[in-house]
Amino acid sequence: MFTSLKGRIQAIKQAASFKGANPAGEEPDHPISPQLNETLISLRTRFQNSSDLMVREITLGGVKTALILAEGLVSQQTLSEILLEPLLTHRFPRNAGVEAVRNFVENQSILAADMLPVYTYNELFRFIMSGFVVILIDGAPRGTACGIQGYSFRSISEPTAEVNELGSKEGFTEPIRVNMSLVRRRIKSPLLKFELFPVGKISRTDICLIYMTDRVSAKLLRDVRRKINGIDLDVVLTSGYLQPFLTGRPWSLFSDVGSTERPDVLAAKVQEGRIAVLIDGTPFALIIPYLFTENFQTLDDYAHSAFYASFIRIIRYFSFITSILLPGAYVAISTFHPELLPQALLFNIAAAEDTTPFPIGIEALIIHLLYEIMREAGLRLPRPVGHAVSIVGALVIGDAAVTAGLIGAPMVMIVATTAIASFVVPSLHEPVSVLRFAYILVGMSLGLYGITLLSLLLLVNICTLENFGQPYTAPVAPFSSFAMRDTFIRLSFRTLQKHTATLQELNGSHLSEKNQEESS
Amino acid sequence: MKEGKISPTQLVFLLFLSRIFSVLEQTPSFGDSFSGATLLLSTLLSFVMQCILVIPMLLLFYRYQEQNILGCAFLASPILGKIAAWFFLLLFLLHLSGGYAIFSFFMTNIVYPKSSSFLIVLLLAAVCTACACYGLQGLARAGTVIFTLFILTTAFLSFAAADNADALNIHAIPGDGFSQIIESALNSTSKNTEFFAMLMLLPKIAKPQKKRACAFWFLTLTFLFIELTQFLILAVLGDFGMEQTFPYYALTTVIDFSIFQRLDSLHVTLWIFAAVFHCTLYSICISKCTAVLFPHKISRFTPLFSLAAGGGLGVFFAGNMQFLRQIKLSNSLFLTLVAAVFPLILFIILYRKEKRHAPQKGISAPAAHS
Amino acid sequence: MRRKKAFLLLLLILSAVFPLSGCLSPIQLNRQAIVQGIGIDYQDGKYRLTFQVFSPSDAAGGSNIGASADNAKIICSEGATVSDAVQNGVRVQGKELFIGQNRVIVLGMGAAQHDLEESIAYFGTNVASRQNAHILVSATTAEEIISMKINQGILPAETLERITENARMNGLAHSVRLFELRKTLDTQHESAVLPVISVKEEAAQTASDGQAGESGGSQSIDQVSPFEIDETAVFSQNVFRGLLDKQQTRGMMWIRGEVESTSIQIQLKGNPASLHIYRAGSKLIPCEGSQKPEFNLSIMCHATKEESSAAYDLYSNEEELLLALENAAEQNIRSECDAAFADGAQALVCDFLNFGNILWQKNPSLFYTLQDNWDTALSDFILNVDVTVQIDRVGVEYGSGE
Repeated sequence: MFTSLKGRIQAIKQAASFKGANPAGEEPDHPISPQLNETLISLRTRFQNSSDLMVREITLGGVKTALILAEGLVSQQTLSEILLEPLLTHRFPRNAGVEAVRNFVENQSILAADMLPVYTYNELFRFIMSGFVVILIDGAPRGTACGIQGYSFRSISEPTAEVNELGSKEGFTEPIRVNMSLVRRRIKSPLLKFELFPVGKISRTDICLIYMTDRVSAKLLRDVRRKINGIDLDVVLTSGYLQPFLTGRPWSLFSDVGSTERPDVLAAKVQEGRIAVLIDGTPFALIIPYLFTENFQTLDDYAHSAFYASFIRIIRYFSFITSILLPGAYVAISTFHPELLPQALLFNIAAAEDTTPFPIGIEALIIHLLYEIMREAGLRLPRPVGHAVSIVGALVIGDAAVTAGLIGAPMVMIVATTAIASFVVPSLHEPVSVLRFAYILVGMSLGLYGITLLSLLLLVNICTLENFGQPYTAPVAPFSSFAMRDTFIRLSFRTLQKHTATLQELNGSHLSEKNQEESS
Repeated sequence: MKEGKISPTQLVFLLFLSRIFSVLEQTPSFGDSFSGATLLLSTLLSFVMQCILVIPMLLLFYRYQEQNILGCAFLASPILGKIAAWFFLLLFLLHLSGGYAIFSFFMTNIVYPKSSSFLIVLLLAAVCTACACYGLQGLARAGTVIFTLFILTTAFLSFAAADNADALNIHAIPGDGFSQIIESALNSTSKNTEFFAMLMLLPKIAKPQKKRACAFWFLTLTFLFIELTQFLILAVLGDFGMEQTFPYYALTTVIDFSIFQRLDSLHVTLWIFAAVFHCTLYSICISKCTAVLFPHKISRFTPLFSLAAGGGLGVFFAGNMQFLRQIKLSNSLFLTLVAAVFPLILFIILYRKEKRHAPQKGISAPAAHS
Repeated sequence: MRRKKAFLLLLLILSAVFPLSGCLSPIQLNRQAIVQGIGIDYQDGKYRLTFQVFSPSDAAGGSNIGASADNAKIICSEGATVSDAVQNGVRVQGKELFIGQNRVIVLGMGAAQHDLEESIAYFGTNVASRQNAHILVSATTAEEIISMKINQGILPAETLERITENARMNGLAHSVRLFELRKTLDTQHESAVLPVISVKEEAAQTASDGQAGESGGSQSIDQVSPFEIDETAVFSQNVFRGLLDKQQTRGMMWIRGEVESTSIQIQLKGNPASLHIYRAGSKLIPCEGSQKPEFNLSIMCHATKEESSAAYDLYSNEEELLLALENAAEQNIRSECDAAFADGAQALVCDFLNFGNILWQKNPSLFYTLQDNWDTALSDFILNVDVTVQIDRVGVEYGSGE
């Protein structure tokens, strides 16, 4: 009796942690009936007699037993070999009784690596729809869920959004448990903890918080849990659904919640004291909190030599600035301040723009709009056709437009340079695209004055961003000298190995109770 | 954890960037014009004068660490506090609108000769108001980045100007040099209106024990920059440079370095940075005054008030620059009275008050309140 | 919430900006005539301005700019003042004249002699004007210089600028930029000097015969560069005082320390020889304690032996030859300095040798004493010249070939 009570308390706790907060609007959770028939009828009714619900009734030791699963989510081979065979071949005593059968199923057999008790209908539904096989025994107040998932999923492949040269070629896939295993393989430490939550009132999507217990800030963990528990969506299908709830300022152009497709990157972030969030069904994990300077860091930096990595980092910063400023600055200078251009360059531009029908600002807007259209088209089209878009864009539109005198050749160069520069930092692609247009508009109407004002406003805006007590522009502002060894440049590992910088140690961070003030 | 604290270094950068505004906008042709070695020596003397002027303020804030000048005035007497708050509110408003006007004067004279002052002031005021809404911390962090850019740009300009520099252009001190040096030093000191901002913001730093270092580093950095700037202007352009409407701008127009045809755009960019920091800082100071004078329901509209009043006055002054010069926003006597004498008086009043209330026990600073 | 309101307010204000954006008056590049060279002449009480403007040929979206293409157009206009003439220049052709990239300003002798300061005042105070533009004086008219066709560089004005720069770098002519001229004119005791540019007679003849560019590929040197800068004009207090010849010009450059490198032609016992000065430095220091203003000029030069084959046989060994070359060079430089001082500054009563500035810095009391009668005080000045030439590079060949 006490064993069963203890088990009950343990299961409730687990269900509570698995369940998260009490989601509003859900039906109250009823316990399953000890009467198998009643439970099955109730189950079929709630499932609306859905075609993928499979119920297999068998008799074990004279006791009616039912195996309930969802078709397509369970491995048929594992079901036959590991679950059904032991059950069907075991010699139960004649008229063994409910307890004997339940004892065998729960305590005397290993029918699956993951075996959990099921008490309520909500738990029953969740387990079935997560690929578990639930064993219900007539007369027993609870069932047993066996994790023998066997649904098809995309195999581990090279990440598409984060390509690198010398690092791992493994990327996350859709199933959350596969992703968890990818991370666990990289940090073989008992201090690495996984916490599972369901989110979404209808979808009940599994999400997993990953953190290092010795490095993460208790305040950060508390705040993240609080924010996740406050999510009131019906469905959560991708990481983008969660991001607005976790970010400090949803309306900001720059997101202080990062995402990654790479388990090695996630492992690196987690060991710095951050929290990662895996979402079932999407290969993109979220990193909280995320700093602005991290957009310019890749794992390749740590595979190359220090001097080359530093050089490439500076190139990235320069590319980012080029990608947002170049078109606007070009328009501003050509329209308002042509005296700033070197003589020969001015002549070339003047000659090119001499017979074009549009002012430089309008030209810039048109050509950049065309570029965005082509980029989006190339992304959405099937791959074989997608390549043709780039050829059409480059040759036909670019070259033909220049030859026809619609736009100047320098403008095509500007667009090309801007586009290539924006590819260097893909994580900032969204703000870059928007800001580019803003700078063009400001440059063509207000010249360098407008460009400078907008830049300053943007800078102050970025500097004000703070998420979970962490300034977005750290370690540059507030300045932390020790962290600069891996910001604009990367020092050698001999230096980096001396101390692993965690978020709490950065100046201005409010993650640690001790670190209350901004100081430099 | 107290909100809105900034580091001493950030405050130094903020004050420095704000001070740069009055250096870059210096128009000696409309006021007292000094040149040659007189100017260089007077800048040094001015630095010494300012170091002395800042002492009463430091004494006061060392004793009452969490209070700014208004807080101390309120401690001395609520009526005095109210008067001080109104006074500083008007003072900052005047300086804010003066800043807008002077900036507009520069832009319409140099960069956009055909444009309207209204547009220039409106844009600047809008951006400054938005930056002020973001708060002091955001501005302070941005100041760190801009300061770095500023130093790099100044180094670049100095390097580029070195080629044209000739020490022969720096003329000796004239016969009545000493009186001119004093006059020039007083003139230079009077332009440091950031003393008023220090009165409001110095207690805002996270490490109270670093107030002294903060103040002196600010004065030192400013002195070095002014000395370097004046040296370059004099070395390249001589006394002729000081006769220009905007000497620093004139310097950048004559620098021709490699593919960079003209460096005056660089100056314009720095100028805009300085103007934004200067005006935003004063907007923040205005909000501190209104927070003390009005309840939160009203004081939360301070940004709008700064925009409307500051911008409106700025447009008015932009069209009446002569009137603005007559007001003489920069006056060494006024600065001494407000930045040095007033804090000293407050210090004496509060010290005597403490002595009266606690004659036996050791005197301690009043409990801090945000 | 507060920040959101602030942001919305800002957005509202900024959205009003774009309809107002015309207030900043941008001018599109294709509506601007990019001026590269300006000529200022004064005749019959009127200023005549000649603008050399960039005008690309056959541009259609691409750019067809080449040194061989004719990329320049000439615009002439007249007016009572320079600004009036500029305005008329806009009127006659419709495009705004953009002077922000201007390379050279050529003053006709008439304009320079009429009123130097007035001639350049407009370009000195206009915000768009390029303060680093070179100033030249034309021996005849500025229009002749600016209108000359040169098939080198994108525009002829570029060639003019390069000629001026090359002449300065080779110690042949003094170069003055607009802001330097304005600074000098602002100083009472200082005299302004401007290089004088003229068209070679042969080149003028070739141009008038219309033979430029017809040979299809081969051109004579005069067609490429028909200009020469041989003289320097001197102005004091806005009045034209006279001309310095080649020798006086270089002497002036020695005294002012403007010679970076140059070639010196000397005669060794009637035989020609030459040295290349690759590094030179001058120091002009006022003497202490003298009643009259006295200056010591020290010139130190490092040279490379160039041509000396004609004199080989006259000396027994290379060392003697080098010594003779050095002595001859020193004498040459000394005479140039004396020419600049005596025949230039003292004869023309103009201080273009920086005496005033040096005295002001080193001996201010003496300067203040002489300041009010500076020009007349010049006649009492004494200049002691000490020249040292050291040949420490001998080139590829050493010793007389036998």
